[in-house]
Amino acid sequence: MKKCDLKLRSLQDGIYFGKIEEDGLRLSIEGSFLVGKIAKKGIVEVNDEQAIRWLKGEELKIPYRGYCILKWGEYFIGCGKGNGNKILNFVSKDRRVSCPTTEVGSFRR
Amino acid sequence: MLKEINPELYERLKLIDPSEEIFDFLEKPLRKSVRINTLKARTEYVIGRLKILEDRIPWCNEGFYVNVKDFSSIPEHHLGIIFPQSAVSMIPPVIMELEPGIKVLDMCAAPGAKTTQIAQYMENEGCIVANDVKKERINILISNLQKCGVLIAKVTMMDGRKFAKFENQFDAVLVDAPCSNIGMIRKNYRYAKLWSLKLSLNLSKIQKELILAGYKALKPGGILVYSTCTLEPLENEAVVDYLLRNTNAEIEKINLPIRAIEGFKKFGDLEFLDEVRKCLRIHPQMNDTEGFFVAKLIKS
Repeated sequence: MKKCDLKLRSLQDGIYFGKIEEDGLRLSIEGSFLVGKIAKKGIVEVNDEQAIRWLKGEELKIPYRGYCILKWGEYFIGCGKGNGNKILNFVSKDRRVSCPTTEVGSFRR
Repeated sequence: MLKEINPELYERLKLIDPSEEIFDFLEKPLRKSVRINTLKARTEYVIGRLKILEDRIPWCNEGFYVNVKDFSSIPEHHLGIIFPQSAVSMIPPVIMELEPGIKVLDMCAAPGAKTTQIAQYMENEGCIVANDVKKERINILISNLQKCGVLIAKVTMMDGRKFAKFENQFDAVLVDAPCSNIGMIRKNYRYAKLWSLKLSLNLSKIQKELILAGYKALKPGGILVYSTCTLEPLENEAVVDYLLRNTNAEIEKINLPIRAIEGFKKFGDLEFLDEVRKCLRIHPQMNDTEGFFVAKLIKS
């Protein structure tokens, strides 16, 4: 991507992509959209029910180890870390859906 | 009701639009709408999934009216795939002739609905300077740019008038000016209480300085869009007229599938240049939206 050459004192340039941890890269939701489109591995596909639980901030019982990007249809819904039994949830509180799973039904099944 | 809340505004609005309908629509609740963020998902895919989407907004391919009470249970909202945005406020980016790789100034950017729409038309390539003057509004802007995955925005906090020194730098400029918000009364009646002629006169002075600064920052051949969500001629036609009289700006007719009327040539004692008629005035009853004003100007 070409860098913007305008000389301005900016408060923010671009977005928060993720954080480099000792054991891998912990992506933001936006980072997961960017990397997910081109990633060849580290993608875990989830169904509607799992996606909603994930977006509520719950862990998912999926046997995976290491950092991964969760994919729901064509959407990338964030980054998690598997310990072999479950995937720990990194969705920040301000990005979580707020009502009980049974009421989350914006999508056509 | 408006007559009791602010009689001065009521009389002023009768001069702006003598129809009874305008007052009926100012009291009706506003239909909610969203824009699909194509930086994150394909429009057709989202249409296939989201049952809250109703009619497509005729003047914006990615815009839809929605049937929803609140967005907190909608995953696409939290993921930045849909963005709540009023239907008329989708107009300015649509007419800016945006393309990937260009430099754009959004002078009064917060909360960022139009900025994120600009980024999606630029396909996240090029540069957007997203400016606002107020710190608390900047935080909301940054949060929305993040959520929508906008990679090309530089956020600045400056008095918009200072952009005059960035002469001939931008391919396109949006001056979505601070205004008296009369067009938004149906969203929030507070604006009706706050309005006075003095307020519009003061805002008009600032708006003239902002449009002039935006025009200076524009490259020759570039497009400047001026918009407000007010119906007050002092903040609309008078501002565009001022730019046309003081620069070599040319005004272009806006062709959109929307019911609107032309800018006023005359209002009370005020007389404007004939070209000002090329501006669009959108009154609430015309499309069941907020009130809006927009002008498209070219630097020759």
